[in-house]
Amino acid sequence: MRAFVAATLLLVGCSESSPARVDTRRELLKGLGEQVFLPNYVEFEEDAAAIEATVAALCEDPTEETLAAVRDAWWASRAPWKRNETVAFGPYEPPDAFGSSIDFWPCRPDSVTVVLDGTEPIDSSLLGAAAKGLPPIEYLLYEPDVDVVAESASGSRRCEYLATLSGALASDATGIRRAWDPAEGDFLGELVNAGRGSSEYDSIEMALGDVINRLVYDVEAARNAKLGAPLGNRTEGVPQPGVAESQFSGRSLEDVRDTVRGVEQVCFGADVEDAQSLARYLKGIKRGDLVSALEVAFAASHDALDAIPEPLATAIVEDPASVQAAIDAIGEIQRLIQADVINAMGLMLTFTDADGD
Amino acid sequence: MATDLVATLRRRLERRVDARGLAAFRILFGLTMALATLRFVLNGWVSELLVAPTYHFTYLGFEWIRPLSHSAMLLVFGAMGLAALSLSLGLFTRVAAAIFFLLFSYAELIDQATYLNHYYLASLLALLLVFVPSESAWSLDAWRRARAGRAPSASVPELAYFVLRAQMAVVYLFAGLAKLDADWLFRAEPLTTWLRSRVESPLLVGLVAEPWVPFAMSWGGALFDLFVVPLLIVRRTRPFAFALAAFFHLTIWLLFPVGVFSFVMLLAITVFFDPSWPARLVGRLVTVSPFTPEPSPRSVRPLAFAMVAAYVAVQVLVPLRFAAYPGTVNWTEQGFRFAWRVMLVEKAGKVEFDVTTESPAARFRVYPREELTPLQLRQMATQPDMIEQYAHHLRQRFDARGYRNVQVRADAWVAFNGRRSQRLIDPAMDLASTERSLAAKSWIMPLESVSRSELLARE
Repeated sequence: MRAFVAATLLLVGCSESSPARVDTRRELLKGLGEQVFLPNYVEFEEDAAAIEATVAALCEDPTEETLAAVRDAWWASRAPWKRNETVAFGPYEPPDAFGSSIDFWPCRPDSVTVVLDGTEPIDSSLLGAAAKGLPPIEYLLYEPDVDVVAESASGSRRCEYLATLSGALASDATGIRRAWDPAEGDFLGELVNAGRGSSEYDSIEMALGDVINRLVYDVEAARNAKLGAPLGNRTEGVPQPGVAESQFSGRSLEDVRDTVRGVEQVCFGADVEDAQSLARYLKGIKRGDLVSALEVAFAASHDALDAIPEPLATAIVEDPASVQAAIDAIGEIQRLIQADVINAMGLMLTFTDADGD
Repeated sequence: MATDLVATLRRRLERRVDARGLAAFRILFGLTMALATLRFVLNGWVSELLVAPTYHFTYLGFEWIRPLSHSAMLLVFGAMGLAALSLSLGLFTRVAAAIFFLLFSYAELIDQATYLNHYYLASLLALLLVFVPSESAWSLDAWRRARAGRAPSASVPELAYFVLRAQMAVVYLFAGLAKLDADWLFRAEPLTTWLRSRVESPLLVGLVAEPWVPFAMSWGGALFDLFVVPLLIVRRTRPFAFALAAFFHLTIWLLFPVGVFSFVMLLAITVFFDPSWPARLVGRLVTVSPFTPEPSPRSVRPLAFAMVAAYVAVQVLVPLRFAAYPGTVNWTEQGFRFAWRVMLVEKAGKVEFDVTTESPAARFRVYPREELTPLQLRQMATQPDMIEQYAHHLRQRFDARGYRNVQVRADAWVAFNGRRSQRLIDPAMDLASTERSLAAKSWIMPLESVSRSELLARE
């Protein structure tokens, strides 16, 4: 219908036709997908495979060295995974639900203990979200007051559980990579072809809206859930280390940094030739002022995060001001994206999916 | 002199004219509203927009309006759709119009976040159909009367057309006056921003990159809104005006997500046509009886004139209320709603709340995303009265949790029509202590102008 009316109006209003133009926002989404999102998932898939391999080595020969290798692999896997929280939609969410399968947090130690204390063979397909994925692996590797090497050597269920979880994690990591991969599930194609046959997105605004809104959500989650909640912002100022992400490994702050780095990747692009980025798009529409402001905001956020003494569990008690300063600094990134960038990109006209004004 | 003028006007408005123009409007309006109701339901908006939110932004004076359960709301929309169809068929026409008006307005009043100008217009047109005799022709009511041996009147007083024309004139006039604004005319905002994102539109192929295009559309849009009604009133320019309106509204529909708004406007301007236009149109296909004025027309009661005068006065005064408030209306939004300020703003905002309590002494940062839907969050972030309303809600929430002396401050930033984000609300103001009212809100921060250095910095 719209196409018919458009054609009619074109005949009325134009004397000659012009070649079709490609929306640079489509190029932006394609570039981000190929240069940022997909490479992050490829890296995560490799890291998940490394976890599986090192877990096998640990269980075969439990030593401090093999344990360190698993911990290193787990630690490394967090970086691309947290960076790609910027695309925690699509395959991340149900029905695929790779997100909750891979990273249901904060960790619920009780859910892990139930499995450890059980007697039935461990079947990953029967485990709930709280009992599988990266957080339970962390707990099994870093459980307080437990000698993981000794316990692994004793033939306890810890190794069986770790092996099951790492295998499922590797499978999920491959699953989410394949779901995005243009050669397979091609969710990237759904984004890029929004409004042009995409079954997920009726318009480029909806696709871009998902990406930009997710950036805002990530930044707010970093402030509210990852820093604010442990600081006690929801509990009258009483610190809550138990709600921190990656609390057992002491990676809480690095997780926040990786979340911020993920947002930064979308804003400034990957370190590749001809990188697509929000900054490039903003400069193209003569909003270089926002790019400069974002650079300042990210630098200030990194400085503020680096100023928090490790680990976060200690900092929220001994130096809460530094944590609050980081929350405020990251808030500046949020303001710039949520207000200025969205306004500059004209993404606010929609009422729902269809109506406005 | 004035008395003569009033008498002349009265005679003119009492003149009997063909009822079929009014009937065509009724049929088209009823059908469009029935389809709009169906679309609302099929899109899942009954649940998403009206039932699912756990908190609703109410209208001042209508705080008592609450959504029903999902199934009951579906019944409401079912009844609304049937009423619209009944209105279109002219079956129990005025009752159907009244039911549609009440149910549609009820749905509209549930949550301020869902406010749309064209919903408000639909409510007003439905209200007018309660009072104008649109069932006089081409209706099941007229057919039933004829079968009962009561000859239906094929004519209506011109007053019936006048009130609908006045309504549409108010919409266009105030939409045009609102565009006499520096952002619209001299910065071509928000069209510059919006058109940039329509680069793939077949309508704008090759044109969107031209900097003059948003300016041409801005000025053209303002001129259209200001002058379309006079052009529609004058018989000689009417065909041109309608063609222009069709081009304008269909272009808007193609470029922007305005739902059924374009079609409501196009069908509504048919009230400016010669009242016999539907008969002439249909007469090309089948034989229709020509309109013959009744020899001894009934006079229109003075009460009807008084009601129309009062209605038009209200419709003129409500959009003008912004003048009673300080500041830029498009920024403060005091006097913005119900004023036909259409397509004027592109805003995005971020708002969080600091809640402090004295007993026990505590401080909380509240992120409204945890409670509000994305639409509510987006709307509240840029509208001071909604921010105030939510602050009151937070005060009540913390009161209920046993905290005393709750204070709520908003950290609210808004980017407006391409400006850098600015504070919208005075961060020192305790919004928990304010009273909801129509009075000017002194705690809204003034809009800072765009400086030349800021514009240069963008390069």
